[in-house]
Amino acid sequence: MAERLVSMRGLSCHFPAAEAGVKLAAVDAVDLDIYAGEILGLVGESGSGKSTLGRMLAGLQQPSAGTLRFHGESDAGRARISSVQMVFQDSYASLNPRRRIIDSLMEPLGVARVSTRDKLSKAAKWLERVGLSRDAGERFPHELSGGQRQRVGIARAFIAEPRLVVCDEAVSALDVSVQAQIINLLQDIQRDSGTAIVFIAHDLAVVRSLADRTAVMYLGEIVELGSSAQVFSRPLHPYTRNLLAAHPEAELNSQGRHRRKVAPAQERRLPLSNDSGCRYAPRCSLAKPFCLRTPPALAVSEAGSEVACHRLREIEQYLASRAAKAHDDESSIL
Amino acid sequence: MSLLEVENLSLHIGALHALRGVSFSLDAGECRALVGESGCGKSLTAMSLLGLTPPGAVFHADAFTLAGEVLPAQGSPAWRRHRGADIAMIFQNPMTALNPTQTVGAQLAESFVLHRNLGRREAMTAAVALLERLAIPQPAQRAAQYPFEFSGGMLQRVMIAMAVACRPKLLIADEPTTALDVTVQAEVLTLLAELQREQGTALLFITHDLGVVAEIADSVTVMYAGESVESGSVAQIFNRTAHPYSAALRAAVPSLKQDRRPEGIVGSPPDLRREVTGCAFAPRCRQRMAICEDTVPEFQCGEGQRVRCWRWHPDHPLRWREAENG
Ligand SMILES: Nc1ncnc2c1ncn2[C@@H]1O[C@H](COP(=O)(O)OP(=O)(O)OP(=O)(O)O)[C@@H](O)[C@H]1O
Ligand SMILES: Nc1ncnc2c1ncn2[C@@H]1O[C@H](COP(=O)(O)OP(=O)(O)OP(=O)(O)O)[C@@H](O)[C@H]1O
Ligand code: SF4
Ligand SMILES: [Mg+2]
Ligand SMILES: [Mg+2]
Repeated sequence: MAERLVSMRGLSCHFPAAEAGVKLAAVDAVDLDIYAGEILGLVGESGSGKSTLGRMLAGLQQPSAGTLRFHGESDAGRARISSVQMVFQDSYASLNPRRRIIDSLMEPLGVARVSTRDKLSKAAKWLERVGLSRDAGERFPHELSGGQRQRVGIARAFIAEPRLVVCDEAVSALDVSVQAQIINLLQDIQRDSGTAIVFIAHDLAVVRSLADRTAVMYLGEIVELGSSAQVFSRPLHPYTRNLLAAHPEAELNSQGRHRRKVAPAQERRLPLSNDSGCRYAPRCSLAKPFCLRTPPALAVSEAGSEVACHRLREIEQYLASRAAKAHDDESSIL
Repeated sequence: MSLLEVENLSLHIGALHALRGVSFSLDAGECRALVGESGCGKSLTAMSLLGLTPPGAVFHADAFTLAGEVLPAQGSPAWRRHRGADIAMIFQNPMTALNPTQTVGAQLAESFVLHRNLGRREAMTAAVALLERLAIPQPAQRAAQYPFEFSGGMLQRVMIAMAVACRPKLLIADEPTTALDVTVQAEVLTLLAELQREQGTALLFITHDLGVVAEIADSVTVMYAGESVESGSVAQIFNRTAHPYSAALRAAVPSLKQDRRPEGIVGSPPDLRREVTGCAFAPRCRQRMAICEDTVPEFQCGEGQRVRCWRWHPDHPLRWREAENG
């Protein structure tokens, strides 16, 4: 595999909670490596800690425990400023309303070293790259549509050639046609420049079409991690399986309707530092008494992905027997 | 006759011809999805159904009726009678629609006092009963909490219940689930469909998520550059997509099941501050013909489906419909 770019070990970010002595474990003891030039998808329910993890990577949030190491950099804190960039859902909020687009674009190139002429030509090149006209550079943020502004946000993140870009819901507010343009753009940029991308999104299909590997988070922890093909076509963790079943597919069934299988509405929980056992156990249909007592660690599945579930082996056996049965049924028809 | 009739809706905001011919109808108990590219005028269409178009905007429609009654002029005080009672709206971000300094229970109760003529005490009881119905645990305590203490999905469920509790004839939902994760989204949609069916409310559902459309809508209107370009049942739109823009929109949807790279639509929509000659989609259309560039196609009726495209004009030969490039 490619060279490691970032290593997280036991990385945590805890916030004060309502109860004294207890912390809100927004991100709890995450071990994760990011490789140079890969696109890593990050999915999971609202409040599972995806943005907090992304913000720690970009140096916008201080970890409360654990290590975050950037390989090949002696002083991680300093180097990170130029080597990690972030794209947010709302690029309007991250652009200065009183600056022309071209000026906002040149900003990440810094003050020293590069001449203004070089910066201008670089900014113009990136405008073109993201499909905007030169004239768009002369405008102010409010004079662009949402999709155009998002492209500016992306150009701005990549212009200084960072080694890692964190995209947090960067395409969620855009309609599908603009979304598709931006996904293709990200793939092209990543292929040409070899920048690694951490792509956080609610839309599972978008993540599948873009990410090489995908990590699934649940209440502050990674519960499944593997190649996107593996995670999306043969999900193993009960939470991942539940999440994928809830995805609205844009097609109709034979009754002319698409209906998702969803569990009835449930109260959401917060991850707390004094939780015991598996955090998914209260909602899990496969939970056993020991699940409520002992937290499961990530274990390697037969297919090579990593899954944090005590009942991983049984789930794998069940899926294998179901596949064999389907195969038998097929051959009995033949 | 349909509950809601909108025919050839047009709206000028200064030099911008934002809506240039939006037509659709809605029956009681029907759910129609309104889809289209960002900036095509979906929200403005919704705002005009509440009489809330921007001040100074010039409004015109050939038909604009609810239950046979012509709706008031934009900005007229006569709208007060309709808003909330006949026509209610749910917004994308429930946080902005609620008052952050007032408890959720008090705000629910107030809307009952206003629209259902309940007394203060009765209204509070009704509010708590409503929270209970939404499977929100400890409803009485929850009613005494402020909006920020609720999760996004829970708040959106409250907003929907609040809008529906006033028994409007027409409910407009503008991107009500885009800010939510898929599980919460599914919960919200289930609730919306349930309440709508129970009360026979007509629902206009604005979204850019075709997966959500497949799940909730009976019929679909596709908009492009301020006009409706295709209307039909959800089965027609999904199985017999007619307009090249609708087809492009479908090709842009990523799928969880296939490893297909979604295709973007090359180019951008026309500038509506200038006059559009010919078909507004022509510059981006892969099936464009000479006539498309200089003559505006009408919003024609086909087999139960209305399409604004020269290839689907009823008088024109069938072979027009097949693209030259296959
Ligand atoms: N600055 C903060 N102070 C206190 N709590 C916080 C802070 N930032 C985040 N949290 C909490 O940490 C948890 C994780 O939040 P985070 O924003 O990382 O979730 P997320 O996975 O990005 O969710 P979403 O999909 O809704 O964006 C949440 O419970 C949130 O309320
Ligand atoms: N108050 C206003 N003044 C001037 N122009 C406006 C106003 N409101 C909307 N517009 C313009 O009218 C067009 C249609 O806007 P609208 O908000 O209806 O789009 P939409 O289809 O809802 O898009 P989205 O999917 O991004 O929400 C856009 O070009 C927008 O910039
Ligand atoms: S009228 Fe012509 S340009 Fe417009 S959508 Fe139809 S084929 Fe394409
Ligand atoms: Mg987030
Ligand atoms: Mg809108």
